[in-house]
Amino acid sequence: MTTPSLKRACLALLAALFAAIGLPAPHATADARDKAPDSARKILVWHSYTGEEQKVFEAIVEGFNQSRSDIRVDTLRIPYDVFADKLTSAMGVDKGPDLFVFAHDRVGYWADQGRLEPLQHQVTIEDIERYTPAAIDALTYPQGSRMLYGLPMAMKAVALVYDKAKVPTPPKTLDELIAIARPLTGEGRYGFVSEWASTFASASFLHAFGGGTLTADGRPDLANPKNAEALSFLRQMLAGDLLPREVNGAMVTAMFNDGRASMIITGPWDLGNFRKGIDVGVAPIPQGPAGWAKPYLSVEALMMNAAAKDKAAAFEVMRYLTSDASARMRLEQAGQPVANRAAWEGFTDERLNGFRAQAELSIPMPSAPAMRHVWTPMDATLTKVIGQGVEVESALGEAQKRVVANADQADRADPLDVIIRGAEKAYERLEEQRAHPETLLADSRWEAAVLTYLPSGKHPVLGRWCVDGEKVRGFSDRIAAGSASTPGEVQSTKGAQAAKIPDTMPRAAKSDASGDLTFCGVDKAIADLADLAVASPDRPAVMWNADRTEVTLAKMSDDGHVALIRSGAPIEEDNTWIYVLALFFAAIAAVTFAFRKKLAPHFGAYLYVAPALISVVILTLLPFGYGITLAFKDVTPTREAFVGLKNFADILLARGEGDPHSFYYTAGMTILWTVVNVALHVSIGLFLALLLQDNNLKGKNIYRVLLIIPWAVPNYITALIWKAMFNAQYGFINNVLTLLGFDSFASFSWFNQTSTAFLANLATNVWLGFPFMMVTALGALQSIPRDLYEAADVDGAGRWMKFRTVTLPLLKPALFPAIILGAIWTFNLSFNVIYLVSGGAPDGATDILVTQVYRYAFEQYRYGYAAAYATLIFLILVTYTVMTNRITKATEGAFE
Amino acid sequence: MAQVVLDKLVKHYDGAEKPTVTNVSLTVNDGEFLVLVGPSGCGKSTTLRMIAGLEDITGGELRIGGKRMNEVHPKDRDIAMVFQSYALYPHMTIRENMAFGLKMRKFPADEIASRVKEAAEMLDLSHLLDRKPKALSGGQRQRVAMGRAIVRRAPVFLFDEPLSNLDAKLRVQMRAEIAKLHKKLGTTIIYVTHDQVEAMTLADRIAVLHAGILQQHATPLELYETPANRFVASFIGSPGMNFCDGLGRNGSVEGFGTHFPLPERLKNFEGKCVIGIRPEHLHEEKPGEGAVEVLLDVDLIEPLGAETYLGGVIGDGTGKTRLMARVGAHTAGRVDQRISLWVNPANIHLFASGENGAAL
Repeated sequence: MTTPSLKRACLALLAALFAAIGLPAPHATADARDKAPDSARKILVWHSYTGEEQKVFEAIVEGFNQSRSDIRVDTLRIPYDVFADKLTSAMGVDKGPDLFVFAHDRVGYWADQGRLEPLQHQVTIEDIERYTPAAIDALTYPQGSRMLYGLPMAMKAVALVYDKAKVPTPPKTLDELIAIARPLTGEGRYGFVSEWASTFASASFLHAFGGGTLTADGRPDLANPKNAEALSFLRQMLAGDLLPREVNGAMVTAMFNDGRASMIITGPWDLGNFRKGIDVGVAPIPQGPAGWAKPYLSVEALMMNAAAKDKAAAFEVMRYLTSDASARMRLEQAGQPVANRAAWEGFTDERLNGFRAQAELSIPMPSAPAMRHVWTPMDATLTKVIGQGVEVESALGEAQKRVVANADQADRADPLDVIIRGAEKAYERLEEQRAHPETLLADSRWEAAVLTYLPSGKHPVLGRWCVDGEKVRGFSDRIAAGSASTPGEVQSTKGAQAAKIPDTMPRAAKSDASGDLTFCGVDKAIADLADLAVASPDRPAVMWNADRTEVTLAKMSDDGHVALIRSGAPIEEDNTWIYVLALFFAAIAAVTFAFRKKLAPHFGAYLYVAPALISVVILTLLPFGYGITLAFKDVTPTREAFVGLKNFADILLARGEGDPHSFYYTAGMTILWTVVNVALHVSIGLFLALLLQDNNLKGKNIYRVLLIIPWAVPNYITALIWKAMFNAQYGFINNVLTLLGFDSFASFSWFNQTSTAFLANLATNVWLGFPFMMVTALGALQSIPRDLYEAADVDGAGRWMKFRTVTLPLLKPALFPAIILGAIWTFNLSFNVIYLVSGGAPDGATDILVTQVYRYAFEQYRYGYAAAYATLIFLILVTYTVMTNRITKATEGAFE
Repeated sequence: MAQVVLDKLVKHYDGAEKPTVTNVSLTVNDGEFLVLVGPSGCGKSTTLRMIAGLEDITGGELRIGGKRMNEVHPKDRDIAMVFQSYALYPHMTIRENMAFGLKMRKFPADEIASRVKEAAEMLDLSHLLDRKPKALSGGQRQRVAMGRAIVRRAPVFLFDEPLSNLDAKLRVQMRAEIAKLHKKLGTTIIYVTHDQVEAMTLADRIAVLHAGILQQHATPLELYETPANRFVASFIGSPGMNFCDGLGRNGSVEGFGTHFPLPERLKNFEGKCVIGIRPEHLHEEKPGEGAVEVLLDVDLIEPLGAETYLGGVIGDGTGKTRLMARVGAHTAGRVDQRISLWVNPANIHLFASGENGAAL
């Protein structure tokens, strides 16, 4: 059957397919960069600017390229919503841009992973003084240290935006705010509107009362009396109807534009969105008992990838792009609230100046990793306390517990800790055996040399850094050839700390070289590390080499000297999947070989199946297997360790301290959700199908199209529309219910109670789900021969009996698989509905398993735990499918 | 008593240009086996479905047992129906299928059981009662469909082309069974078919429909011997009747390349007409005195074993009129040869000229 030529054709096809799947498109991204002469040093900058900002930014870059022939800068725009993820993964594999523009709040996260280049050795004091201090503060990490991780471009903070026609003078204090707002409030209008349930928008109130979210050293600090006061204040405003019951960011601006709000809190990004004709004023958010209500400041900064190849060139570009001249262009032409002070001189735009004034009166958003665990629990707390009147202290206490637990989960048992502990031991022994460093050098576990550097130079140097040329290779990879020679003058904005810092350390080390000690060009990296050790004296500073096979620790001792300890112990990379893959293909090869005689006659057939099989393996089986292996590990963005069944035990024994609801609660909710949904989908779908089936119905096709529309509209759009319809004040549902005389719905918050939030989700998902069942039922109905109904007519069956004895039994074969499928879809794929409509409100009570998994994976970054959760979901669904298949012989058709 | 009377029944579908059934009047006597026959689309099934109550009646009146039934629901018409597709409920066993009508009418369980048993025995279905329809052969399903009607003991049975889904051999067998059943049960049967053989063999009387109009309503033999018009003449009989334009003059009629003497009652007919001769009335041997010779240029010979069909054109020189003759097995006819055939003038049919001329 298989001719040789056919065989050859198939093989060629297969080869082409492999090429299409497996090989990367050649030089896809390189083309753009190849325009510059080959000799130019190339710098790639990623940004997410759009519109005017993008034009001006690219013009500035073009200006740089015109002025320099030796450096060529290329820009690449990455959409904002995928920027951080793309960047994180690109930097993880040492690819990606040399420079990028991003908000500062990820600095801590990236810096902890060693992915950002510290800049304090390149910048001069003049550089630093060019910018608003708050902007520089935002870019140091840990906060208050002298480690600088970027140069600021723009500062964005929310401020009080008001309609001058209604509010001639903006309030200076919160009392004034209430006094001005009260007469402007009533009949759907509000004197003051703020997205009070959002931690970002409400942070200024926390600060006005002296509270906040994190301590100075980046630890969660929610449960304090100041925060309680702030929340009570907002609660009183809501209780006094001075705030709308439900409001989101888009609504705030919309309400301001159509005159329903006289004062709002929003940021400079909304400047283009205000309706023409409104005389907009911008003022700082008023003072509270503890001072100005400082909002969180988000600083857009130009940062350098630690893996940038040509750091000297990259830094020159940074300087140019953040220069005062560049800033002036961005301010004047794109309305960007820039961080350079000089750029604002003589600039008269009142609104931008208003936002700038607020930026000066702001607190940099904490960039500490713990911050990412604050948002969800704190948002929930705001809703609970302000919206639902839950007791404030206990709510804050619970939020604190959750944030701490989640942060612990994300940071505990880091494999790095193991090394650090080992290094600390070595350090203790170093202290003991200072006199005999050779014993340490002989230690097999710490095969690399151990070095202490003493700032005063009084103590003897123990050991050598550079045992031989090779040992250093890791570090020299990290450092661009040009930048390591002479570190710039070390500057600091923090005078007090600078005194403690061995600011001449690298040079001192060199001069102290007694023949044995050589830094071999690693001085700058070590200086950075020592800086970091001084910045956070309670924990060792860590630095990896480029291959992440060696780690160097710097630790400051009580007597003020810094010990540098280098571990040669390689971190075990997890390459299991390669072995699994190899094993898999080996198994296939073995099976093929073993059965070659049987397979040979069907060679052609297997060849035809091969592409599908291979894509199933690569696209489905491998990711699936990877997911399962993750479930047995503790995986976060910074660590990966095998923990056996611990994740499962934690889930099943309901040990999660940071979780408001146990796995069993969420599983129960999911099952309830699925059962109710499928029941309604099927009954409504079937009912409508029966109506449409009626031959006497006029305009049947029009109805059919109308009824399928909910299915055709992208479901997130439907979900957002329903969410808006359930809005407490302005939602269609409440308005209609009020019109019908149900006055208690006038400003009823659907998402405050589990039952009503569930109903809101349900309404949305039923709307989305019935068309599928209707179409399925319609198809199945049409396949029922009319004869049968006529026979039943003659047999004397009435309408109901015909439905029961003919329609239903004959629908079963078609409807049953649809129900099984529908149940799985609802169980697993109604994510959008839950996530967008109720968002799990109140506080995760309406979350289903898949939304919960999402939170673990992408809000708490606990990938292993989330994988275990997903594995449990998978097991539930497998059990369900097997059971349903056993119980009914759904696949057995009634017709021949 | 279950006499079925169709009084000027009309069916006119919404939006259709012409009525599907026009003024059909028929009386089916109690116990009579009436076959409604006609080509596809002639309105015979529609007529049956109007009797069953599955189609609304646009005009006229339907009476069963003397009562007007136009507005009565099918289940209250005292009819049982056997569908062309059998319409067995696929998810029920044979027993349930047969019992369904009785169950719906709330018969006591033991009564249902005994009736089903009786019908199953009558139809030789006893061993199949617990199977589902799809496990049965076509003929068995057909019997189940009949069984379902039998258990009802309805005074009127309606059959809608019940044998059309069976193969030829089974059809002959089932035909006989239906005939037997009718004898046994003595119910009134109205039976729709497009197969004239079924019609001829089963019917007490046959109603021939064409284009929604009743053409003739008579016993099988009457239909064959004295068709009311050219349509009936051509529809009944196989192969169909041969036609040729004729011209009456001086006591004879000219056609088929020859002259036929006109029968006594039409002695004085003059003018155009259509002459019809059934193939079986053309003989190779001269059947007797007075037979008329027709010359045939043979171009087709179809030996069927017991007999042979000869086809060709009339040897009148025009080569226009085709003729089919049904002769003995051992014909002398050869392709491309001229042959003499003989017709008894008493066997010719005369119709008014035109598309569907009435018999003269």
